Amino acid sequence: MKRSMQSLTTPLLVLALGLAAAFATLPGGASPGGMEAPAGENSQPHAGSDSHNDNDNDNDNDNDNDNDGDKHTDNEDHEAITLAPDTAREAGLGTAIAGAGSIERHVTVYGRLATPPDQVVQSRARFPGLIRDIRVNIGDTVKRDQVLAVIESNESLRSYELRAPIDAQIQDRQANVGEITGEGALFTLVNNRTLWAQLRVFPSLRFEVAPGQTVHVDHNGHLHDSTIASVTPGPLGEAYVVARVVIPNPQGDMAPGDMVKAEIDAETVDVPLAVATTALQDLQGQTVVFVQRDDRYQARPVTTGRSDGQLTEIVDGLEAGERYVALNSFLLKAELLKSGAKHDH
Amino acid sequence: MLTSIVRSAIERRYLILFLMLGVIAAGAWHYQHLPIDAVPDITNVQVQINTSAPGYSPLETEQRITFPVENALYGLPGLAYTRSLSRYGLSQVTVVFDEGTDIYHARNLLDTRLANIRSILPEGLDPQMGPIATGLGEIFFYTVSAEPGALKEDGQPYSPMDLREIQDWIIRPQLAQVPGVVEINAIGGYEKQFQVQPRPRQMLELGISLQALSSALRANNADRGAGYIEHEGQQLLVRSPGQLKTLADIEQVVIGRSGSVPVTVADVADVRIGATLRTGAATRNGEETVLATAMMLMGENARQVSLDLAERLATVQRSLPDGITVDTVYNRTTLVDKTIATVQKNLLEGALLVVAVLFLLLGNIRAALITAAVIPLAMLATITGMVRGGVSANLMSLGALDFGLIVDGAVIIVENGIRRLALAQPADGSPLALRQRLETVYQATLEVIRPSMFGVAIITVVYIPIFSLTGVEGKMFHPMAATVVMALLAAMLLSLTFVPAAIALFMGGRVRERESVVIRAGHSLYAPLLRGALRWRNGVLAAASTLVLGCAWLLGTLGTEFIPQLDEGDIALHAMRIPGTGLQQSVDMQLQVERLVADFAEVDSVFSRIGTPEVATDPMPPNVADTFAMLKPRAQWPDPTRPKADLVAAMEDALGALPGNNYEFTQPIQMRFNELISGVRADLAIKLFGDDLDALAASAGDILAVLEGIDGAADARVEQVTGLPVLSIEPRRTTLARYGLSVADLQDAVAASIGGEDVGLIYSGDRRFRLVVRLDEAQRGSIDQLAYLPLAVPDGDFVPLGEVAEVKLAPAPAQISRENGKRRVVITANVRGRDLGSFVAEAQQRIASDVNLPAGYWLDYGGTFEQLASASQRLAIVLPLTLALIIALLIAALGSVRDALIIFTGVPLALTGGVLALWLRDMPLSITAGVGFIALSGVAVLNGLVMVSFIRELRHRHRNLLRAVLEGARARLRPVLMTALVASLGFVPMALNTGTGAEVQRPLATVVIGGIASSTLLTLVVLPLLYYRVHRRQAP
Repeated sequence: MKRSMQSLTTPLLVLALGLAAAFATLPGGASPGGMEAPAGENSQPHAGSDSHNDNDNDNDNDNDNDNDGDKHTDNEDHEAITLAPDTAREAGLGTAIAGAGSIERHVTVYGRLATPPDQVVQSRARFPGLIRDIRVNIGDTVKRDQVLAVIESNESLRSYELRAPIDAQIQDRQANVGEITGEGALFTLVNNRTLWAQLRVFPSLRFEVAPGQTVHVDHNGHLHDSTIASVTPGPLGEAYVVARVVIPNPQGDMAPGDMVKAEIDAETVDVPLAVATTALQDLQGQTVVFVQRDDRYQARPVTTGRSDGQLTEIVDGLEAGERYVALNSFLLKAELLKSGAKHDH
Repeated sequence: MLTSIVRSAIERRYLILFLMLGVIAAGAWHYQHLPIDAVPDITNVQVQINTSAPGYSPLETEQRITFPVENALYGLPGLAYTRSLSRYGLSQVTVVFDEGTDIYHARNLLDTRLANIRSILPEGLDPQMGPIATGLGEIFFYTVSAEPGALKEDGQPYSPMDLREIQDWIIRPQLAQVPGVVEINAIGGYEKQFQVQPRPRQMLELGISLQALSSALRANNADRGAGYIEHEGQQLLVRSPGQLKTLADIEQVVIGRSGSVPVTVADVADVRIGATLRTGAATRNGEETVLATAMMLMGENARQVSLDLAERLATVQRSLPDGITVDTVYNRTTLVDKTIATVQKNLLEGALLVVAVLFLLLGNIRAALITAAVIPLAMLATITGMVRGGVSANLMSLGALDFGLIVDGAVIIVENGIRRLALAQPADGSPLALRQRLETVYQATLEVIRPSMFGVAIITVVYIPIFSLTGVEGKMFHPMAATVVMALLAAMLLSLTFVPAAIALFMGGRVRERESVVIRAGHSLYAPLLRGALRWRNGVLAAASTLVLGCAWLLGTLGTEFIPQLDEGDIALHAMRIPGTGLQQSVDMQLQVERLVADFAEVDSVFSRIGTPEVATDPMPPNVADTFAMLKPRAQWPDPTRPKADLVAAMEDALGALPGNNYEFTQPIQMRFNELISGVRADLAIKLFGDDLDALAASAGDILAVLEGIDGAADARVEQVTGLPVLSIEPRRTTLARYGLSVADLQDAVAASIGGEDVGLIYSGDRRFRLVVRLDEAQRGSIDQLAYLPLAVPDGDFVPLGEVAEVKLAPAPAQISRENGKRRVVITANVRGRDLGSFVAEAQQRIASDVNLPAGYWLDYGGTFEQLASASQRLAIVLPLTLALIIALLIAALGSVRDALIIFTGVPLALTGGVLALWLRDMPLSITAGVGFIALSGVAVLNGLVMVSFIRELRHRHRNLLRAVLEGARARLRPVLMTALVASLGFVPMALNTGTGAEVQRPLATVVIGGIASSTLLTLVVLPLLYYRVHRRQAP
C-alpha cells in the first residue's frame, strides 16, 4: 500500500522539482530585453580591450610600450575601419594629402598707443620777454619753421620769432599776447602721424618676441601691419617687457592712449610634413591620424612637432603623400571606441 | 456554516438578487476609478534628488553636492539604499525606499533633510526632488515646430529659440494644468536669454573689470516699492520702477566713469539675445526640434490623463501663433487601448464561448444564463476589489482571468441543480411545488458544495507561490495573482449565494434535462473506454507514468525565458557615442541615425532626445540619445506579417553601417523602467568600494584580469570611469600674487567669460529670461586664444590669463558613481556554459587570494545570481509548502489521506498536457507559462475532487467498488467535461490572439488548454482506475 503511494508520488515530485529547477534557472537563459530586463538581460555588447584605463599610459608615442605589456593587451595596431564611400560622404568625412606646410605661430598681446618721444615738443621762449604776437591756435597744424609767436626780449628789447621745431599740431597753448614769458612752455606741439604701439609682453611670452617680427595691430577692428622695432624692459617694477611697433596714422583716427590688441607672428617654419590639426585625435593616450586607403581607415599613432592651431608638424608616423582624414575624424575615433559607449544609468 | 449560508440564500432569494444590484452598482462606480495602463508598474519606491550645478565638473559635483546630500540621508526610516552619480553640471542622488513605503511620506522626510543642508551647499544650488512619477510616467510626447514659410511678427522665420519660448510660455502652462500631469519636461531648441558679451579690449581701455560690469547690471535691474502716502484722503502707492526691459535698456546701464565720462554697458560690451549653454537637444525625422514630455503623477490613470492631454493640446493649438504646430508623437492611449482591446476581446470571446458551451452541455438556456451571469458579477466584484486594493488594470492583471475557471464552481452547482430538479420532476411534467423546489435546490447544492468550494479554495491556494516572488517579478505577477484570487473568491461567494438563489427563483416550471448530443456521444464513448481501461489497468498506469516521466524530460529540453516580452508596438533605442562627445557632434550623428530609421517603410515617425532635459529625470550625458521609432499600424506595412524582431534586426544592420554609434534596442516603457530601476544587468557584479579613483581603476583592472581567467566568464568588463576630456585652467599661485590677484578672482573671471555669469532676470509679462554676462561664441570657443584673455588687475592694469594660469587638456572622470555613500566601480561578468553558483564561488576565492586590495577598499558581490539564489531558495520552501497545503485541503475535504493523494496524482498528469502543448507550439518555458501550470494544477484537483467525492458517495450507498467507480465516473462525465471545456475554451481566444499584448498571455493560455485536455482525459480514465486499484485491496 505504502509502496504504491510512493510510486504515485514520485513522478509528481519529479515534475514539481523540475518546475522549481526550471524557475530557478530561468533568468540565466535571458531573453534579450525581456520586459524587466534589469534582472535578466545581458545583451550589451562588451569589449575587453577598451575597458583598460589609460592612467598609466606613457607619453612617448613610439610604438614600444612593452613595459606594461605584461598586464595590458592594448592593441598597438588599431583595427582598420571600413566605410563605404557613400557612408563616408554622409558622415561628412573629409580627406587631405599629407605634405609640406608652413607653420605660423602667433601670440596675442595687448598694449597702448603712444606718441613717439621725438614727436612731442614743448616750445619755450629762448629769451624771456613780452609776447607781441601769436600766429597759431590750439588745433592748428603747423609746418616746421612756421612762426608760432613773436616775442620781444626783455634784455635786448628786440623782437624775435618763435618757430615750430617739427611738423605738428598745436595741442596746447599757455601764452597770450601781452603776457610775459616765464620758464614754462608756451606751446605743446604733437605729431601723431606716426604712433608707437607699446605692447606689453609678459614673461611667459618673452622668448617668443624679437625685433623684426611681423605684427598685426588691431585698433577698433582695423588691422595695421608693421614690425617690432625694439623690445625694451618695462617700467621699473613691472613684469612685462615692451615691444615697440611703429604705426603710421595718416588719417589720425588713432590716438595716444588707445588700447590695441596685436598679433605677433612669433615663428614661421616650413616643415616637410604637416597635417591639419583637426585630423589629430587622442586615442587611448596616443595621438593618432586616420589614414585612408580606399575605403579603409587606419588609426596611425604619430609624433607631433610644432603647431599653429591650423597645421601641425608630423615628426614621425606618417609619410608624405598619404591621404588622411582631415574633417570629422572624431567619427572614426568614435567608431573605434564605440564598444565602450554605453548608457549607465 | 456552508449549509446555513446556502439555506438562507435560498430562503431570502429576493434579497440576494437585490444585493447583486449593489454589487453591480459598486462595480460600475469603481470601474470609473480603475487605473488603466498597459503593463504593471515595476518601479521601486524611489525619489530622485537632482541638483543642477552649471559649470561644476564631476569631481566638484561629487565633493560639494553629492556628498552632503548623501550624508543628509543617513538614518532615514525605510531607506533601502542610495546611489548617486555626479556628472558635469549635475548631481543625482537616487534614494530607494523599502517596498511599501508611502511615497509622499518619504518625500516629506527628504524635504526636511534637504532643507537642513541647504546652508552647506554652495550658494545658488538647490537640490530638487524629481517628479512624483513612476516608470510608466512618460505617457505623452509632443513636438513644437514651425510650418515651412511661417514668419514671426517681425518678418523673421521662427528659430529653435522662438519655438522653445512658445513651448515654455504658451504650451507648458496650459498643459501643466491637466489633472494627473506632474511635470512637462522640455528638451531641445534653445532657452532664450539676454546676453551681455564683454569686449575685453574696450574693458581694458576704460578700466572696467568683469566684476564691475556684473555688479552694475545687478544694481540696475529692480523695481522698488516705497510704501504709500495719504494725499487729500487718497492713498497713493509709491514705487520706483527700475527693471530692465529691452536690449537698449541694458546697453544704457552705467558701469562707472572713465575720467569724467560715464561708461555704459554699450561702450564695453555687445548686448544681444542669445542661447543658453544647453545640456540636451531633440530631433525629429532628421531635423532639430523642441520636444516635450508630459509626466503622469504616480497612481493616475494613464489612459485618462493622456486622453485629457490630447484634448487640451487641441485647445492649445488654437492659441498658438499662425504657422506653429504641435504634433503628438507618442500617446500612451494608443498602446493602452490596443492592449485593453486585446484583453477585452479575449475576455468577451471567452465569455461567449463559455455561455455557448454551457448551453450545449446543459441543454437548458436558463441554467446557462444563470451560470453566465456569474461572469459579469464576479468581474464587477473583482474591479471593486482591484480599486480598493490599488491594483491597476493592465495586461498582466487582467491577462490571467479566465471566465471558464471562474465559473467552474458555479457550473458544478448548476449542473447538479438541474439534474436533481429534473429527477424530482413529477412524472406528469407538472411544475414542482415551491417548497419542494427550494428543498431540491438546497439538497442539490449541498451535495456538491463541499467539493466545489474546496476546489476553488485549492485553485486559490496554488496562486500563493506567486505572492512569494519579490522584486521585479513580484511586481509583474502580484497584480495578476491578486486579480485572479479576487475573481475566484468573488465567484466562490456567488456560487454560495447567488447561484442557488437564482436556481431556486428562476428554475420554476418544467425543468427538462436533455442530454445533449455531445454528452450522449461522450457517454457512448466513455463507458467502453473506462471498462477497457479497468481491464488493462496496469498497462494504462504504466503508460501514464511513462507519459509523466517523458514530459518531465521534455520540460528540461524546453527553452527558458524569463517573461515573454510585451510588444509595445514601437521601438526605442539608445544610440551611444564615446564619452566626451560634444552635444552638437552628437546631434549631427543622431540626425543621420534618424534619417536611416525614417527610411524604413514601417516607421511612421522617429524622434530623439539627446543629453539631459530641463528636469533631469533621465540624466544622460550628451553622447547618449534616446531614439523612439513609432511604427505604423501593421496594416500599412509593406509586409504586414513581418515579425518585429526581423524589423529590429534589419534596423540594427542598417544603423551598424554608420560610424561611431553603438546601439541598444528596447521599447519606450521598457527603456524607462530600465532607467529607473537601473540594477546591474549581469550575472555577477563585483562592486569595488573605495576612495581614490585611480586606485579603484587599478584594482578593478586586477579583478577583471582574474575574472577573465576563470572558466566560463563572458563579457567581463569594468565600468568606464574616465574619458571626459577637461580643459583645466590651473592657477599659478605665485604669479597671481605678483599681480595682486586671488585664485577666486581668476576663477570668477574664467567662469564668467566661458560659462557665463547670471546677473539677473529680464521680465516680459509672465515670461522671464536670464540676464547673463558671457564672452561671445567666437572668443570663448577658441582654446588657442584663451591664454591671451586679459584679466583686470586691481590697479587698473591687466595681465593675460596664460600668465597667471596654466591651460591644460587632460582626461578626467566622466562620471562618478557612488552607492550607499561611497565611491564604487563595478566589474561585471556573465557566465556561459557553467553553473552560476560554482562560478561565483571560484571568483570569490580567486579574487580573495590573487587580488591585493589597498586598505580601506572592499568588495561586494551582487548581480543576478543573488536574486536567482534567493528566488530559488524561496521557491524551494514555498512550492513544497503549497503542495502540502493542497494535500491538507484535500484531506480536509475527503477525510482520507489516500483519496487525497489519488486526487493529487491528477496534478502531474495535468501538467503533462501543458508541457506537450508548449512543446507543440514551440514556446519557451517562462514565468507566465508557470502561472498557467499553477492554474492548471488547481483545475485538475477540482476535477479529481468532484469525481472522487461522487464515487465515494456511491460506494457508501452501494458497497460495490466496481459499480461505484463505473457509475460515479459516468455520472460525473458531464460536469467534468463541462468544467474542462469552459475552462479551456475560455482561454482559446487568448491562445490564438495576435493583438498587442497577446504574447504575454499566449503561453499561459496554451499551457492551460493543453493541460486541461490531458487532465480531463486522465481524470476520466486514470483516476477511477487508480481509485479502484487502491481501494480494491481493502474492499471486502
